[in-house]
Amino acid sequence: MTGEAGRAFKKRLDKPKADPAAAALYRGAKQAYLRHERK
Amino acid sequence: MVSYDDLRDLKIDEDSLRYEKYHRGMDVAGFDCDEQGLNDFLRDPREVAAYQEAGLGTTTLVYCHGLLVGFFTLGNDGLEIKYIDDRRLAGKVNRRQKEIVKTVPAIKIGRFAVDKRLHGKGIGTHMMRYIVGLALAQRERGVAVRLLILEAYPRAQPFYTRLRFLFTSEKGRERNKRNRTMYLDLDTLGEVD
Repeated sequence: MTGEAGRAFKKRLDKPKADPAAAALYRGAKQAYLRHERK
Repeated sequence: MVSYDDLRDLKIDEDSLRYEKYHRGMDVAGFDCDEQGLNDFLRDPREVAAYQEAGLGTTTLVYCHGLLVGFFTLGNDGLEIKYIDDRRLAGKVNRRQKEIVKTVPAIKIGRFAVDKRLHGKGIGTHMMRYIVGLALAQRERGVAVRLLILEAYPRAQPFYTRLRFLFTSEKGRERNKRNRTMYLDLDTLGEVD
């Protein structure tokens, strides 16, 4: 694979593909879990 | 004593839930999630307790104002990388790693249920946030985990989709399955904490 397609493929592998909706849904999840654990 | 009817009218937030590891002798008889297989698993100590004592899955009971409102069972597992669509896999797994690591480390949600009298109150979302938090904490404590995985009943699949779980690629064993494997890639969450 060369050229544009190759660069696009590499970019896909190298860069995390974030899911903004998932990030919003689970924001603060670890802190909430740790809070429960301390109870 | 609070009843399920009372809870239906209350706002149930994350901090009003209490999580307790299952052990023999806990009262679970009144729980009903409207799914026979899940009810039977929890109500029969030969299932839930034996599963736990054999180290196959640890069950956590979820309470709200003293009432049992849900439960889930977790264990360590993995998902073969071939079942994850490249286009959907978050980055950081390069081609060389893919050749070496055939299975992506995961926490398997073996059972997940909310009492039917409280469906629609957001309890399942709170429980999933707890599991995500546990997975992220486990990572920090020194055990790699990249995915949450589960086998979803057809009628539960929209719920897990709302929680941002994805279907695995339909290859091999996944083809023609009624219950589908779904996964949440923790790396798609960015810097959640």
